[in-house]
Amino acid sequence: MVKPFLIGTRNASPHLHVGVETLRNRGSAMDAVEAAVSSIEESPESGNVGVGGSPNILGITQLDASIMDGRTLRTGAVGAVSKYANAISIARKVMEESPHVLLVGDGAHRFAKAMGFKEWDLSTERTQTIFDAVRRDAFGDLPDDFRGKEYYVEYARNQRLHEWYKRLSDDQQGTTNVVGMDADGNICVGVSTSGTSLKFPGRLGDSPIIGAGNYCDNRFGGVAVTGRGELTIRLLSARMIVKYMEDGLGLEGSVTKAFKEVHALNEFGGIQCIAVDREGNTISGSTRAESTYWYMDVDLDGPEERPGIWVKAD
Amino acid sequence: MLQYGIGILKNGGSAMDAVEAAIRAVEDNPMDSGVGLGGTPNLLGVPQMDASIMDGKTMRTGAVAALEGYRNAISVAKKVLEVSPHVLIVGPGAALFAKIMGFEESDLLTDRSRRVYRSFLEDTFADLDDTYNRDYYLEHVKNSRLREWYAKLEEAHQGTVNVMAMDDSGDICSGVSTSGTALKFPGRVGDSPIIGAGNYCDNGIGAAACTGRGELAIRRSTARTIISYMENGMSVREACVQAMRDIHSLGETGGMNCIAFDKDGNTMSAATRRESIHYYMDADSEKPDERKGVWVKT
Repeated sequence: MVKPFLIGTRNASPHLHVGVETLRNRGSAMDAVEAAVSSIEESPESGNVGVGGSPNILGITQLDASIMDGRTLRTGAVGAVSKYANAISIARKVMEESPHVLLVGDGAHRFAKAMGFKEWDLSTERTQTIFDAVRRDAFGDLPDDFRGKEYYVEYARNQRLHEWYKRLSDDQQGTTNVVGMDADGNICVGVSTSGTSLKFPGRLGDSPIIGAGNYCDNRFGGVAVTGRGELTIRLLSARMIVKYMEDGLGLEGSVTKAFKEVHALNEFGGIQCIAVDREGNTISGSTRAESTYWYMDVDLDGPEERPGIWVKAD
Repeated sequence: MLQYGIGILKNGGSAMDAVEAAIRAVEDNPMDSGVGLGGTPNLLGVPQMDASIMDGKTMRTGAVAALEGYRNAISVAKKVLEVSPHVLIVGPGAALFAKIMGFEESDLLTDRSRRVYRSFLEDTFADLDDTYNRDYYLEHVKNSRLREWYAKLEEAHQGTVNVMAMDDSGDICSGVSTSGTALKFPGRVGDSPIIGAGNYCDNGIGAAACTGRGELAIRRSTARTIISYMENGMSVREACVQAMRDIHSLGETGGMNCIAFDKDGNTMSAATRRESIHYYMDADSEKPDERKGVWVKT
């Protein structure tokens, strides 16, 4: 029998113990993943997640999150949430209480309110400082007739969105991924993020998209992805890594094949993932750097940093 | 409406231009209650559109969801593909993007869709009078638990449009547009704008798109999985049948339909709870040819 454990990205490592405690108390993988991700979301120091998450081009933090249950293949997700910090828990409520799997924007707010979630102000001194710094850096000296929203709209129109985005947003992603397995062999994957810094309002990346940034199936394994979500949406990378495990490619072979596909798109931006197979073997992968991830099981006192793989272009 | 796209293919236009033209014609048709103008509104009476388009040559995609106030969601999705660094934009952000790109705002409600919404309210809220506001409806939904509520409406129409094409150069494009499940919860996104769930194509393999209870296709990444099955050697028919079996195995309420073709142009459709048909038209056809698909039973 597998020892219950969680794995996570760097920003998840200080919070894995919260979820592992849930596993020690015989909690499910889903309870453990939710507990760890919630702890990250409520911590203003976590960067691009929850409170203090990076703002969009209008200076508003918009959160995306998803959670998937590998036993039933049930999922819940939210996108463009700006009034609540607990995106992963709202996503779980979407799964449990709503007939839908993905709610976005104002509709997600109405749902969260109906479910009794507490409203949060997601901005912090830090996000404001970052936003001001990036804004100064990207826009130069703001003119005297600065008109807020219209200014950005005009800017985006004039500069073409691609160039604008490429310049501002490369290497600013900091999505959190937590994948867990409990004593019954159930797998759960949770992903939460404020998305790419200075994204266009309402932009969704791969985090709330089941199959792109998040997928699991107890029979084969589970995967969570970070990086330039636009690429994994096009390829369904998380779904395909699980599919490749089903096809018999093994954990490393599956990640390698999916990441070669990312390289084959020949676009800017990198992708990273963490993954487990049904036996509880774990791995991480990256398309453009050495990769590590954090592992903690019920017998460990703290998270262990483990090496993953760097999948290079052919 | 396929003839609008065929006209473009005949003139040497791309598969993507053909798909866009055919879907625009559906979106512009006020009598179609599941797409664009005249699409059935959400629980609050607001029409919210979802659409996506994918280019099988480059695997580039664009999609919008919960877009309010713009009729041609498919064209906004195509702009997301062409101009933005993103692939999916939702809600007011999507409307802002459409505005920046010069799309014309329009009211998507028609007398007919207003009547549908009004009669839904009257049927559902027996004690309805003019003093009730939108929060009342949401409160009601919450009290009777969302899932049970939705089960009551579950048979309410789904009328997503799927159009996919192959052009002279062998380039494939697939497009999907919808107003989503009738009376959906505000902000609900189904499979239509989710690449891999309701829409996928790859020049080297083929194209697939879905309609039905999108929540199920999202959980199975159904369109992407059909392409993957074909890549692993299944015929287009076998791939569609297996994907519908995957849906059945979820054991949930709600039906699913898919259409697909392979890179040689063989077409197929399948459905989980009814006879399945799809329409085919090529540059030599005078009118669309109705083709029979497979009813995949449990």
